[in-house]
Amino acid sequence: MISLRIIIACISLVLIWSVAALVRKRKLKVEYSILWMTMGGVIVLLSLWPTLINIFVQVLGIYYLTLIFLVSFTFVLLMLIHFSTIVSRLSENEMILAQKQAILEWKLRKLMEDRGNK
Amino acid sequence: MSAMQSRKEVKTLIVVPAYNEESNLSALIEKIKEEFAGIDIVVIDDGSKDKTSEVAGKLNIEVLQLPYNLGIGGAVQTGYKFALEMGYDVAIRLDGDGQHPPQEAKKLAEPVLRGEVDIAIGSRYLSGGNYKPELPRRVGTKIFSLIVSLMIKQKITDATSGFVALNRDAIKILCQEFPRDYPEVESLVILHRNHLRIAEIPVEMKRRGDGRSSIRGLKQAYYVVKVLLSLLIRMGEEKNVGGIVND
Repeated sequence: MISLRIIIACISLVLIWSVAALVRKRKLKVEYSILWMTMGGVIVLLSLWPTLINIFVQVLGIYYLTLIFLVSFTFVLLMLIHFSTIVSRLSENEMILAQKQAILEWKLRKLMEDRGNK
Repeated sequence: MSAMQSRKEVKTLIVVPAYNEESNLSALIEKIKEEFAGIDIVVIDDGSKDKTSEVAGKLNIEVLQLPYNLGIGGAVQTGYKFALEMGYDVAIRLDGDGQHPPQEAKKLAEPVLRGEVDIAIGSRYLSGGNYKPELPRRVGTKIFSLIVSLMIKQKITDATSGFVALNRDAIKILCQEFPRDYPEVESLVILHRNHLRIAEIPVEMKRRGDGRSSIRGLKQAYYVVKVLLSLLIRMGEEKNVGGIVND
């Protein structure tokens, strides 16, 4: 059991390190790394300190695998909602940009025509 | 027409959203020019894959070319933003698919030009006209109209109509907030929220030039769900707003 816990903790540490590396290389923005880091942190904590799981299991009165499933599922769900909000914001911005571009292009065309006529 | 001629200082723009309408567009623009002599027309090419922009470019009108397809709401809003920026007082939306007959647009423009309403909506169901969409569409429109009527406390018979004339106040509001796809039903609630005067005017409409609507099958189901959901969310908002006012 101990070795399994160490493996899980190591995987989580690698996850955190990878996320940090992505942020360093500017491939991931800090604001989007927070949820990933938190997830990695929680898994490290639970694997190194299993008593925490036991406390939760006893307080909630559920099988501990159910708890693990619940925690991971919640994270994935949060992640997806987070992404949906980002996509919504991006698509709104993208539309405004396209509209502006079309109007600016029209103005530029008018300007060029005016210059051509002079 | 008389109202339009007597108010020369009023600048009116006809906004024509068009997506893959190379075959319908020329005839429509000619018709508009016949009905409204000397009026400004802007075609918004919503990222068409055919030669819509090219065709429009030869018609001696303004053309705004979107870099890719935004959907009808995004395209119409581009026209409204253009109208606002270029200082137009009234905009008339007239779809590029030939569904909205130009000769009917005058009926919409007149009450707006007279200053009686902020937005005039062409209704297919007020006139007892010839337009008879298929049954499911008619039922859908009825249900939307009923919900919207209750929400804005004003009888609406054709909530899905996109045939509208609007003044600068209404243009300003819709430049700030206008759903990207299937905007008609929700925009009525948006306009009402902003205390604008809405009126329905009986008009005739035609079926699309090529006979098939762009809203079919799964899209139709999405349309219904999307509009119902946005109305539901707006209803919740309305209650909150009301609550704050009452407090």
